[in-house]
Amino acid sequence: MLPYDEYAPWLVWLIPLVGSVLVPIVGAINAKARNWFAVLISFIGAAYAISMIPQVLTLRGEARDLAVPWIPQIGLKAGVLLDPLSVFMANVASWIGSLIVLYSIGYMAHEEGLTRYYFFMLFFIGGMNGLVMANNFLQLFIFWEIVGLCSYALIGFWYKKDSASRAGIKAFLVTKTGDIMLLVGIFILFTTTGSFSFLDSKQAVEAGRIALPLLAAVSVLIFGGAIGKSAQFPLQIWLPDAMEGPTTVSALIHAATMVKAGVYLTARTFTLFAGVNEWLSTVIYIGGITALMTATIAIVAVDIKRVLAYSTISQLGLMITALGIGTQAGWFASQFHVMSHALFKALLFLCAGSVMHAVGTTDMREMGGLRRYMPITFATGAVGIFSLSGVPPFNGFWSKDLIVAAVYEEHMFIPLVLVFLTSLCTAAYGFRWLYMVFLGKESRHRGSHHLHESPYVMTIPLVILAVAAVVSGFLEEPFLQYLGIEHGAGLEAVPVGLSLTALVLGFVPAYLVYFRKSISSARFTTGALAPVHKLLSEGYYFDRAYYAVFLDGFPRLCNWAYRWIEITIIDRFNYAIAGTAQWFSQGLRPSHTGNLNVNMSAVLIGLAGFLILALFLIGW
Amino acid sequence: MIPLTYYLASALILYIVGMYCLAAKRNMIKLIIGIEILANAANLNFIALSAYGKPGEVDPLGHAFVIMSIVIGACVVAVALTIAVHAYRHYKTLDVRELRRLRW
Amino acid sequence: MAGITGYDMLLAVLVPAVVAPVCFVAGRKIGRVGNGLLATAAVAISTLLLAGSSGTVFSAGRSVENYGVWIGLFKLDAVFMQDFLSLTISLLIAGVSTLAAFYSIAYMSHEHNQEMYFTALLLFVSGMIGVVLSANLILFYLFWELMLIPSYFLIAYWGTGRPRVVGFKYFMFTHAGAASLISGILLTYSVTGTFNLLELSNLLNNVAPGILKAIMILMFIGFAVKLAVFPVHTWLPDAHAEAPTPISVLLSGVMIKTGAYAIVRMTLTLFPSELAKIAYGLSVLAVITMLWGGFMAFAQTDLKRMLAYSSVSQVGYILFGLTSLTALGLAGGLFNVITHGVAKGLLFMCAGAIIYATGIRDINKLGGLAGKMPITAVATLCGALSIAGTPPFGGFASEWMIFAGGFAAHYTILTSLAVAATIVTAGYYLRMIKRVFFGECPANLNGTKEAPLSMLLPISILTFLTVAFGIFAYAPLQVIYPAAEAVAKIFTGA
Repeated sequence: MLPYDEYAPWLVWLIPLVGSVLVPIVGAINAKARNWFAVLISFIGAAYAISMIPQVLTLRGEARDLAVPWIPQIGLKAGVLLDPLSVFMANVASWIGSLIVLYSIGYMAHEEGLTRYYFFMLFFIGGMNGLVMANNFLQLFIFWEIVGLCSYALIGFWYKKDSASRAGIKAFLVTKTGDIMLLVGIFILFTTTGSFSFLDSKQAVEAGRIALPLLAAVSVLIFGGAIGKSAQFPLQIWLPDAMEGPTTVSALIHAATMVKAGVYLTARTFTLFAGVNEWLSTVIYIGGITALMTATIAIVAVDIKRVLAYSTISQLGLMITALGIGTQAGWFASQFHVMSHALFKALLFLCAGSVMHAVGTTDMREMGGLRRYMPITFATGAVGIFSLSGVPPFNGFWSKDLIVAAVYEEHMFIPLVLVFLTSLCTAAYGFRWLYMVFLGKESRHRGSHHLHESPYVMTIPLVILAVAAVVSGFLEEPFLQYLGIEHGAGLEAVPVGLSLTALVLGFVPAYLVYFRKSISSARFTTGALAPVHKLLSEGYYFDRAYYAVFLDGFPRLCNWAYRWIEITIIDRFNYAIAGTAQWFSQGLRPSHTGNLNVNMSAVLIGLAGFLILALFLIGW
Repeated sequence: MIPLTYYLASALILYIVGMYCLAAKRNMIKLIIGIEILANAANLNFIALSAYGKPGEVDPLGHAFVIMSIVIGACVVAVALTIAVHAYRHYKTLDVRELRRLRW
Repeated sequence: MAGITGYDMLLAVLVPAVVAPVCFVAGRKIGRVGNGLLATAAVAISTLLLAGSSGTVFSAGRSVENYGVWIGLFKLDAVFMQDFLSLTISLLIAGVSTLAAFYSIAYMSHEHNQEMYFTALLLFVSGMIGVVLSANLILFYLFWELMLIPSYFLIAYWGTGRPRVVGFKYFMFTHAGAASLISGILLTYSVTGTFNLLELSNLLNNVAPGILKAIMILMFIGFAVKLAVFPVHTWLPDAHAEAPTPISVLLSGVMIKTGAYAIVRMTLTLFPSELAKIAYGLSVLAVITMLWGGFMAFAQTDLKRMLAYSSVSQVGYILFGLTSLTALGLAGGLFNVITHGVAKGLLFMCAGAIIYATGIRDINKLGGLAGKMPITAVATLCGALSIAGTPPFGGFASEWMIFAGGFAAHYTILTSLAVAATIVTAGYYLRMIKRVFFGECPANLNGTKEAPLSMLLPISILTFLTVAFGIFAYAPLQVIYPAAEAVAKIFTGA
């Protein structure tokens, strides 16, 4: 055991957090030093993440809980949970994060506001590590919100662009809707069990101390947080717009790590809620519907990053579906897919960034034939697409096959259909992306941008990720052992057949339309399929519907309430009281004429009045 | 001796006359005369009651009050006539309605 | 008597009041900056004295200074008391007031008649500190009104918009509440024969429930008007939006919290049985206030008016925490008093900096200021996120405790609504930040410069505190939690 092991679970998130605060200070000294300082810090964090693996292996799948007092008055402790799942996610976040920060040196070289960028990148990596290492729900929630804050700040990085700021706010508010459900669920759990800790909650559930209806409610509420953060139906609208941020941000936050936080949470609470049928149904169907819906939208998207965004949502849906199956096999399949997806999606985003860096546009219709100018980018991009579509022997094939196998094993028909169709669409849009960007003729629309391969700082991470994408497919067995799972999911005939069928069925139309051009793509935008195309382009009108209610309807409601209730009723009521008092005094004013005769008359009347009163009192 | 009620009735009549004068007359000199009539009514009241308090005796306290009252009445008239003279010099009329400033 | 001088509390109350006429007399000679520094120093001395009394509070639970008989006929003693509850709030009052006084120095460079301003400011601060330190009901009422009068002048003579009308409205409204308060106080005296807070809790046990209820409601109305819960909140937007900015800081960040303090000190401590019966209704009222404040804030385009409605919304959170009657909820409510005081003070200071630099208050006419005023932008973001309940800021630390308390009190649906209300808060704050700081800078704002250093210093201090309260929540909770526990014990015991 190496001497620094003790503190690794803490340092893996403390170091990036502290490093982020130091970024402005280093930046004030020297800009280049600041950039490489950020890279250094992220790699140090990654080193600590790797150092935890030997520790976890000795635990053989059990968890180790370390805590220090944080708010002693209420007995609240800050803690870390050292178990295979948390260390795995920490490694994914740290390593991909470090590679992306390295890539940023080249990609963001000509931007301004880099201090802010590196601050938030490091803050994010620290927050993400803190999220996965947390040992209790409250701490998880705190880091959950912190990564949401970083996401808001980084999406809106180019704050002068109105669309970027709007996208940042949209991401923040939509995920906050999920966060609210999560918080309510956490608190109900806390009220029932008296503790925020994962292990305590697990004990409470196993001991049967929580009534089933309450547990069902809590489980769905906590899953609500995952829906928000992982952009599942019906909160999927924020992720495509989040592409307004720099591509490195999209790669890190919206592909590899933050959106996986929802999957992580569902995986973490799996042991708590796997016995609740409502939870399982909710999870599997939301995952399945999301996966298919967004895969279909990706087929018609024309922005290079938006395709990848929808693809991410779809793949996340697959991971969630796998968790919703309720078996160990499904759980394992989802985690394996987390790993492979993190690798190939980050790879694809970085490729997209490389292409955008060279071409200067994000519209795929203006690209084409870039294979000749950017060979490394093309090769790594092809690897990414093959993984995404599930071509053997890349890692995507193995992980998706595991998911299909897990669903098939449980004989769940509708989820199987959803997964099959999703794989089909995935292959279709994947190859469409590849053709539109890299293959075919050079687009006539392009200006005279000087095309060249990206600098080494950018291509090295691409290559590393591509190699990892290929190699990681074969790491199923070690991964199983690492997670301490007994059940092995080997290669079954039917699931493999289904995966390959979906791949071919998806590949063929893409090939025909884009590569061979035997079917014109214009046939889809006009003619009989035009309404379908419109529906998909508008994202099933979710955005329009939400905007109508929240961006249009809600402000109108507030303005109406302000004008008619606040001003007209409540304020007028106050002024009415004041007015009545004024009316009285104004009314009595004319009686003071200043005329002596009138005063004397008043005296007389008063005197007469008193006399009559006195007579009454005497008894007349 | 005449019954007390005659004196009291006269005092009451004088009182009413004085109040009426103050309430209805506009001329400042008339108002001053009205004040005097009121004062006389009160004085008459005092004298009458002091004579009829105990049969055969006259209470000197009542008479003492009346003498003081007459003196004070004289002072009041003096001051009031001064105000009237100055008001006449300022407003060129003896109408009391000109003195209206102390109102709302 | 312990503490630094032995007369800590009396001095903490009197030092600003005594320096006030000095400010007026010497003001013209030593100029705006000198006068401002004098005022800041006076309030800083109060802060130090109050901090000094914390030693006794921690060791003995409370610190009482009895200056003997004041009006013997009604058994009125001049008694000051500092326990955990008043320590929390008095430190907030004195601390934020010091920063507001310092901020005023730069702010008053655009204003007139600064000697009168600082005089009124010091009297205002003196009144506020006196309110939380008094242990005698009449003394409490005296300082309650002493808060009101200088603030009326401050709004009416240095305010914007229609200052006289707004000041008058503020005065009349709050004074009407105070009329209800004094009726309650006098009714208390008539049934118990004493005004002394320390003795009242025992004596009130023997009073008939009907009268207790009447007293509680009368006093609560007075506190509620000051705290600005719905529906008696309409004075707040006008007053806080039209007051000069440092005074908005004090009004929104500190003064309305004295209402919360009074609710805990009197309504919760003295009338537990009666309050427990209406606690649910009050929680509903609190949630309505939260949501109403949020909806109204959404409809505003004036920067300071939006912040004022946001204060109404946060008051709902504080009240919700207080009426949950659990230790966690009460601690959350009191902690929210602190964090909101700091964050709202910060936001008003930033708004003041923006108005000082650009002269514009309408958020639709502002834009792109992040490049021109970076420190203000970061500070505003920190303050806004804190109030919206985002970690790692202090607002989250206090709000989660409020929610936990609400759930512990089994108000599940109400608390879920309360949690949902944070989206509305986040919505209008992020919209404000986007309109003011992001986007392109309009041509007429190209020459905007960052706020002067004397404004940035209090802003930075408050930003630091907002973050610190979030991460190191145990530090303020050391003072707050014992107070909350003591009050919660009354309810679980009763």
